[in-house]
Amino acid sequence: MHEWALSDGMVRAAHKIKMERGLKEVVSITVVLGEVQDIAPDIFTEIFDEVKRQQDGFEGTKLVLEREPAEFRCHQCGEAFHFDRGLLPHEISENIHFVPETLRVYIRCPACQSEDFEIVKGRGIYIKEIVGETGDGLDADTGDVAEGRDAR
Amino acid sequence: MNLNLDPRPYAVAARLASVRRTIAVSGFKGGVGKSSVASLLALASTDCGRKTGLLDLDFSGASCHLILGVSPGPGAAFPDEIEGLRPPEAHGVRFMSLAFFTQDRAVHLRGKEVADVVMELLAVTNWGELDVLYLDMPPGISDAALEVMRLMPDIEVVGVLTPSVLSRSLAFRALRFSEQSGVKTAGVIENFADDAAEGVDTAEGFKVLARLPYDEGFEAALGDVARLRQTKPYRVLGKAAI
Repeated sequence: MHEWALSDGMVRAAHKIKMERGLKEVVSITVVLGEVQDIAPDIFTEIFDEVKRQQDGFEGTKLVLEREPAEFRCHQCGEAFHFDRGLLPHEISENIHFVPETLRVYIRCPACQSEDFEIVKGRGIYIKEIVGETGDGLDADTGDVAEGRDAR
Repeated sequence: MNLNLDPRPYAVAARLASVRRTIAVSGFKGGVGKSSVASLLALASTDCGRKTGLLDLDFSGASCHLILGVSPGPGAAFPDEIEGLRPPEAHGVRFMSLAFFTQDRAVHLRGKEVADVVMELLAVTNWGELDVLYLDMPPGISDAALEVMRLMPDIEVVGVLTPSVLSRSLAFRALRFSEQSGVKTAGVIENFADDAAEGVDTAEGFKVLARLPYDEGFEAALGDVARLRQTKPYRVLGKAAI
């Protein structure tokens, strides 16, 4: 699956932070899924459970997924607008799923019909938060005791 | 606190881990035949038995699919979803292009979006094991070029130029810039070469890898790989094995 590569990158990014923070294990990763890329949460979770086995300290990691609605702004007339993915043919929806910027080929500003608009929110995936066990009860980021957890 | 951490840069190195050598074919000036040279290099490489990939990063002027005779889109050539996106093979070359996802329509991208598409394609394309990956770069030192240099610091640049003083001046300036940024230059390929320069093996200190003669039948061979293999530029590049 295409999502496999993104999930792999996510676990590698989390692993780097785990090493930087000296975490013994990662308790949870909160990931935001943008509406434009339209990654299916159940598929992403299934792939994550497979990919996370490649790194130590992720055995019990919980994946928390949040959805971010798409928001666009027209460069020509300034109109802020949204889109209804359900109206797009399957093939076009797949193209946008693989490369979100191709959206600009398929939809237009509803006010001025320009294809020159910005994806303000909801493009793709990003990591919002990583919570880990430090083992000594210290939150290395703030110095506060945070029930043995380091949250970034 | 929101980390707002993009996972894609972390995927890029993993996707390229089994690629031995990456050559960025750069033109710097429009119309020098960069995409043709990149496509012919990829064809010549695969014909030599090397596992070869070709990534068209010239988004606004994507044309490698036209040169290789690939019809992009579902139902025709399209990447497979195998641990990312596995590029379809075109005449033995593993080939990836934004044209697969735009149904061959023009796509207009601003700076950040260009960088986003570069990163997306590098993060999700599953090349597998390759001896060499050729990148058809956009003209000039653009956002795409800078993003490639950031994400793939081990690339080698092959500059494509013509006998024109404008092409040469721009190419040498750009190659010096990329070398100052730590990117290695493999050399230059002179397209539409004239006989006067025959036997000269360096240009402004850069190694001349090949001189490609003008072939009046080249235009008619575009899209037909069997005919491309009969052209003079292909025969020179086949011997040069770059």
